[in-house]
Amino acid sequence: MRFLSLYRVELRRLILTKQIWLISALCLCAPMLGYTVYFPVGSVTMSALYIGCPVLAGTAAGSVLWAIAAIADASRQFRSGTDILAASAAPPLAHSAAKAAALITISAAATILCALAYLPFTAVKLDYLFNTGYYFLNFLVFMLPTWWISILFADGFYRITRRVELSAVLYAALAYMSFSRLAQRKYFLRWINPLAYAYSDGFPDIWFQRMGAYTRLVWLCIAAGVWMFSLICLRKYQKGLAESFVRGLKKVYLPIGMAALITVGAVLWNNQLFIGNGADDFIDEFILDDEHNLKLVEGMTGVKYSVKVDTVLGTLSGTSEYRIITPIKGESVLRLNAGYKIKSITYGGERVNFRTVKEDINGQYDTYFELPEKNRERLIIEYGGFPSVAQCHMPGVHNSIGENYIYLEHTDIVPLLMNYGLDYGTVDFEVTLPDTLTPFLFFEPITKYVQNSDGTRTYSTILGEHYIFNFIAGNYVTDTFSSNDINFRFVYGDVYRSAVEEYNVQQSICDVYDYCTEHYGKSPHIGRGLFTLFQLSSMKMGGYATQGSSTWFEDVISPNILSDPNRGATATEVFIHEMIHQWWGGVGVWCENDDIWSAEGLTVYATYRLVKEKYGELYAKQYYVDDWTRAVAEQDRNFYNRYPEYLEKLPEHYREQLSASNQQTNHYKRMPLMILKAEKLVGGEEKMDEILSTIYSDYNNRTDQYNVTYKDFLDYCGLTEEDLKLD
Amino acid sequence: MKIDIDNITMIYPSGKKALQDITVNFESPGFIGILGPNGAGKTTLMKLLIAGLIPTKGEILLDGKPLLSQETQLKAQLGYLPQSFGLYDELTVWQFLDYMAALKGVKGRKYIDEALERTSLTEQKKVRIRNLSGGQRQRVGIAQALLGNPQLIILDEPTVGLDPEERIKFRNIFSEMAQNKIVLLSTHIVEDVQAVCNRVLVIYGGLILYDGSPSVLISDAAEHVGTYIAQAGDPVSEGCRVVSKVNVSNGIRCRIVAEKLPKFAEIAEPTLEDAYLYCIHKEGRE
Ligand SMILES: Nc1ncnc2c1ncn2[C@@H]1O[C@H](COP(=O)(O)OP(=O)(O)OP(=O)(O)O)[C@@H](O)[C@H]1O
Ligand SMILES: [Mg+2]
Repeated sequence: MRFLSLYRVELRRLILTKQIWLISALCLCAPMLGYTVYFPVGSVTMSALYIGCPVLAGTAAGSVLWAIAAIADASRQFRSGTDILAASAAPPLAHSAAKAAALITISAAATILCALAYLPFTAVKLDYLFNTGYYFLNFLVFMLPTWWISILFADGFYRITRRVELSAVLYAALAYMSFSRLAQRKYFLRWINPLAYAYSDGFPDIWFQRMGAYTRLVWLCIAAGVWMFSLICLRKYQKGLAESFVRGLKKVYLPIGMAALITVGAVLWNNQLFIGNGADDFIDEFILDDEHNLKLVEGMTGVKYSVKVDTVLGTLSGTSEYRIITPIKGESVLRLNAGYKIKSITYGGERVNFRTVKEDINGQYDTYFELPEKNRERLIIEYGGFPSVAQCHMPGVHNSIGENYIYLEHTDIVPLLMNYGLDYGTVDFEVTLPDTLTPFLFFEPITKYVQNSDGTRTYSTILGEHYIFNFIAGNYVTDTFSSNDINFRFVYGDVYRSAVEEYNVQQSICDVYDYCTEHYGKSPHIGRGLFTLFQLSSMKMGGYATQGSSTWFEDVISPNILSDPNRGATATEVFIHEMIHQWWGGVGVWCENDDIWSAEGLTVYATYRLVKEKYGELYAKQYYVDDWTRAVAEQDRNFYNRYPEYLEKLPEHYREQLSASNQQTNHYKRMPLMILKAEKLVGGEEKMDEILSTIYSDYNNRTDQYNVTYKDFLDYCGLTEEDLKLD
Repeated sequence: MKIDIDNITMIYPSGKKALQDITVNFESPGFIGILGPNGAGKTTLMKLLIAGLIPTKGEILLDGKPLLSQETQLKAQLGYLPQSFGLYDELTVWQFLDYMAALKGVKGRKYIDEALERTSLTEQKKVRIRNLSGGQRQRVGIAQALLGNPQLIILDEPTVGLDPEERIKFRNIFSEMAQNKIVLLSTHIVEDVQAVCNRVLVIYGGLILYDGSPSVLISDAAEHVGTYIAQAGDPVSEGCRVVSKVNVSNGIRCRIVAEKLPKFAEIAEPTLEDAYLYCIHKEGRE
């Protein structure tokens, strides 16, 4: 075939071209930006730092480099006139296609080289956390197709405009869109910087990789469509753009191909399953819904939920069986995750017609149906699909079904039949999943199961009341231990077993618990003498604290955090610090976050006090107070802090850097020192503990999630800002 | 192979009429020289022949079929040397010819070696194009046009920049090749044509002034070429065009062409160059 021989020729030519080698070499370096300046991943797990950031940085920077390569090569041929000879020798359309295909091939080779080049370093860094397949998957899903998309756009733009600067402007505009504010909401716009907000070490999840692959496919279609359009615009017979375009249209397969590609892209985009199609903002309307004017009746004796997850496809299918006493009159409303489809609704064996609304709210949508007037029948609802995430929730709250982790909440797992209130009678819950995963319903393990022959287990449990569902499954291990009057259930990812041992995590939990309970008060989360500490995947942002359990972010026992000297003298102390956050921070008492005040001040102070009790005054002074004093002195000595009038002369970038570093010092070093000063002013440690204990009991677990401010703290101490100024 | 150009007019978008109502046929074997001053329309005619341009009016047929529907067949048999073109500087001569051969779908090293030999580039085959002299680059251009033994060779001013020795060599190569194909060569160097072409087209201002054998062109100019000795500062007689001036002991020997020679001029034997200039001169006066 002509194309193939042209392709081989162009490939050979590119390999002999110096610029291509230069671009490839730069592409090999591009991931380093992810170690140094570009951190698109929100979590700080090892895989975020050493896979996510470098791959995504390489993806974005490399895309630009390949665009430069494509435009430079095309423009060189045009300006030097080699294209005149080429046009007399080869059919221009096939030749253009061969050139693009050759560059795409080279970029693919560069991806492979890139992946291989960083493999040893990453494997060493991640050590026991390293998974070769997962490592390569990230290159395959993010880097490879994005580079292709970029080449197609750039090559297309140049063919259309025949001007380097115009192509560059078009490309830059497109790239800008990908980074714009709009794209922070509409994730599908992110073609050059695909969204991958979290990477988990303990529970590697491919949700973002799935969405990445899907968005890449969408953008490949669009880019190929634009590229096809450029072929229509291919200049021939020394004609201008308009006339060449009209002539190009006569090759009907070009406009048809272009239209087909753009259509496929648009259809894929519109029918994406990842993110709900609803409002951008969270609508605070969850269970009760005045608009629908629903009557709540108590008409059920029980419900049975059976759910089966397919961890390979990431889908769920379920059946809910409600034992109804008297159906309500008028329409019933069923709420479900926007990604799920209702397959059937039957009542007493009879099919029931239903209608759905397209617009979803917070990633859920409603289905309406009317039940026939028959008493004491079973309402059976079959549903299933790929759970989508509410637009407004991203990238925070997150559901996902993967081979290593399942996180499903509320209508992600079972439908909510809204007119029947919350009293569903007895609730049987049954879930089938691979036997490698350990399931938890609201942080309680589900222990009863039947082993199936296909490598899955069907777990079942009976709930006395209708839970607001929170279902998690993963490669978890559970440690139980006790301290004084309390039993701990410590649930964490299997891969962290060695870290938990190495850093003496169990002991720290007990120490912190004892210390904080003694000094600040009993945690109201603790019931029945059992306290569950549950590690979430870093995919799931946001912590929980409820009766008897408390969750924390995965990152807390990430080796990377545990080796951060800012948080404590040794890794164990870092863990103590993080554990204290269960009292002061996202869980427990919430604190305002400003330039100087945050939950860190109280947490660092409390850590210091605990360490002082544990290791003695000398140790605490050396590693805490002296360290704070040194850091604060250093900050005060900084030229720009002394002469802020010169600050304005600094470029914005430096100003931001300085202010970030100042804030860090204020939170972790200055505030603890100021609290220490307050301690002296109010009359010693005991007095301070009393004050903190009062604050804790006043603000802990307030339903309005009030943030304690610096002023609140001062008021409790009876001090003024002036009093705590350090000299 | 047969090419029929039927009543073609080419007007550029700028409004410039480059060719006007041209009708001409080429058939193999044939070695056709196209002569004409700058801006006459030679390049335009060639671009039309390789389907690089579309005529404003008229039609070109390749073996009886419209040329534009035969582009693939045309390119398969075409060797083309544009008047201006670019080469990939970073490639060696051999790599470049290999690249062009592959673009043309010509298989086999022997064609490349043959083209290298014909253009005396064998020694330079490993030299990067960046390091070639102007004439050597021109020869690379010719070499790529010869690749694969094409049936239609169109050379737009191929001998520009070549030293006299190479020029003579190329004339011979071209004429050798014309044995069984169509070779079209444009130039304003008349000697190139005289030596080898069996047919000359004289183009001027977008019109074909002459189409026939060189000898007829020459015989048409008989009695229209003369010489005389002039002194410096003498005005040229009206209606005469000076072809050459040579300083001799008793003044300047002028060679002129004219419809009607002045009395003092001595009739001279016309060369092809005289004949060509006469042809154009005659046209210009009309
Ligand atoms: N792309 C173009 N647009 C407008 N006018 C053009 C274009 N190319 C050529 N011309 C004009 O058409 C006329 C014929 O040009 P052409 O290049 O065919 O001349 P030529 O015989 O090849 O001259 P030369 O010996 O200088 O190469 C000239 O007057 C030229 O100015
Ligand atoms: Mg010309």
